[in-house]
Amino acid sequence: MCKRSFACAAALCALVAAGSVQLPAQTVKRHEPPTREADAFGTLAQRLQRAADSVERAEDARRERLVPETLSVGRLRAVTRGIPAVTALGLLRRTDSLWSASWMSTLPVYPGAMLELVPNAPRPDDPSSVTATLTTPATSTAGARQRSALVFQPAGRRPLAHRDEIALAALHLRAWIELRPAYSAVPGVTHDTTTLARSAFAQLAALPLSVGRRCLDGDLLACEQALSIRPLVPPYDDVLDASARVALLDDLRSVNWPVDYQTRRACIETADPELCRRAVANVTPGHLRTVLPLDARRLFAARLLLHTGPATVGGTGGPIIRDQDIDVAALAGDSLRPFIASWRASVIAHRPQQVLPSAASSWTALLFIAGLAAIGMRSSRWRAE
Amino acid sequence: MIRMMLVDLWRRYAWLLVALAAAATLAPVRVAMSVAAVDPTRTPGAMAILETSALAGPLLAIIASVSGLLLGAGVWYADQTAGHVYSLTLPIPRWHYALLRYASGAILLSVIIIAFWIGALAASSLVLLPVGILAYPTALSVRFALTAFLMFSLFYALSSLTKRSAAVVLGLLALFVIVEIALDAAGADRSLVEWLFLEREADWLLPAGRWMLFDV
Repeated sequence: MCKRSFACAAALCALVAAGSVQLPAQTVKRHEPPTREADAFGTLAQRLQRAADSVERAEDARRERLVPETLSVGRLRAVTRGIPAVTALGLLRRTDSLWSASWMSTLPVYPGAMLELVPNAPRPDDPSSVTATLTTPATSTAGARQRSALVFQPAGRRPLAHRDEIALAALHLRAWIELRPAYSAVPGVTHDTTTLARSAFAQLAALPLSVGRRCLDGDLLACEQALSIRPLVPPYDDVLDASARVALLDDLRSVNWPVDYQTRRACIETADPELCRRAVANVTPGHLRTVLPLDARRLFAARLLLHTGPATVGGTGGPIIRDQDIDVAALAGDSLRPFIASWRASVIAHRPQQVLPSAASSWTALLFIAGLAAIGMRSSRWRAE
Repeated sequence: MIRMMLVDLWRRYAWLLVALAAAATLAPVRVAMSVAAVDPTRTPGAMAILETSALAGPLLAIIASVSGLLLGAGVWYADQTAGHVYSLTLPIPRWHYALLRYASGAILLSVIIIAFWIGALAASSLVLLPVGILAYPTALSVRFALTAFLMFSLFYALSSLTKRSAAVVLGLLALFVIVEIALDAAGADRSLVEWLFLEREADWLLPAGRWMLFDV
């Protein structure tokens, strides 16, 4: 029997040996979103994409005619001449968060392109405004540089130019998708959606804020907050308990945030609830965003824009945006919720395998154990020797 | 008779059993200490715990596999060196004798599994876990036990084959490992294991997977 079953035993050995070590791809599950939801996503993605494209085409036409345009973000308003609206919008966002600082920097805005923002002296006729020169490297002529002008002013001085709300949402979304925080662990790595979904699950489950776990439990409003689509509001009492506040402050330690070191350290060391609550209340939504699950946003972006297959999101050339408000939820209408529901279903489908072996796995292992034991008990060695 | 077999096994392998039990107990404790060592003054971050736990997983799998392997082969060692003379003189069927051998090895293997379980429970109590992270000492012990018994049964069966048959099976296993290493060294996109089992969605066959003491 044993000799006859030799080939079978050899095959079983190979199977068992293969299963005795942990392998990175062992939890791969094929997942396809439901067709109806996929259609909804496609509709929203195409709608936003078309809107963004149309805006860019219009911007190109306007730029050719050198028609000045006014954009407003936060406290800033910009009159743009000769630059794409999306560029001005991105620049405004960055500048708004840095308005009070004496600041000079080089900002990557487009993948592969750089913009230099050089604050000039305040204009004599209006000390509250700052004129900045925007320089972009020309792509058509080597060495040439294209210069455009932006005039920054505190908002509220001039009437805003009318813009299509959906188109603005598309621009917002594009900027949001291109997010690449400076602390990204492995910049430039290509993530496929399966990897992103697995990572997103772990990041959501381990998030100090309760929105991560509520999202996994099916609360789509919490999903919007975890995705940074709907902003969280200080003092965050509804999403943080006492221990989570300490964890949050600890997670924020590498970020330049507006609570002094002593206060943060005192909270972490003493875990005094009131002290921690006061400290966390000073954390702005923008700073809070830095601890929200990045791979969850990347997966959302990948599903939204690319819609199928492997996606590269957050490459090295993406812009660095730390503080940005997104109003996609209000502007995208009813199609956002099904999209988020499908995104969540994708994350849930890629939940890591349980530590406890599944019933099928356990029964199979027990069958193997019994079979191998039976082979051993019908030993041929005694007869052979 | 099984008591005699147990005593015999203990006399032969006491040092080995103690070493395996100690390793099984201390390995999860080491995982917990690694997690706490990130910064002993504060609660470790969730992602740091997951990374540390994942890194330690293969070590736990190896301890389970080696425990089963050594005991599975060890239970037959006395008979093989004596040419099965003693067993053939006993007034019991051969399958009965083999069953007693299997049972004696399984009992000793259970001691190692219980040692692992105790170590995992102790390790879980050592770390103050942040929100969202859970300890899985018992679930991991179940995985440990299944893998250990699988390897035990495998090498119990292999050791009962004729020398020639066992050599061929082990040779095939070695060839499998060599091909796997060669593919990896050649920079192949996928491994033999992935091609044979994972891409065909056969991963449910075995108690492989997440060896995470701390997980989401």
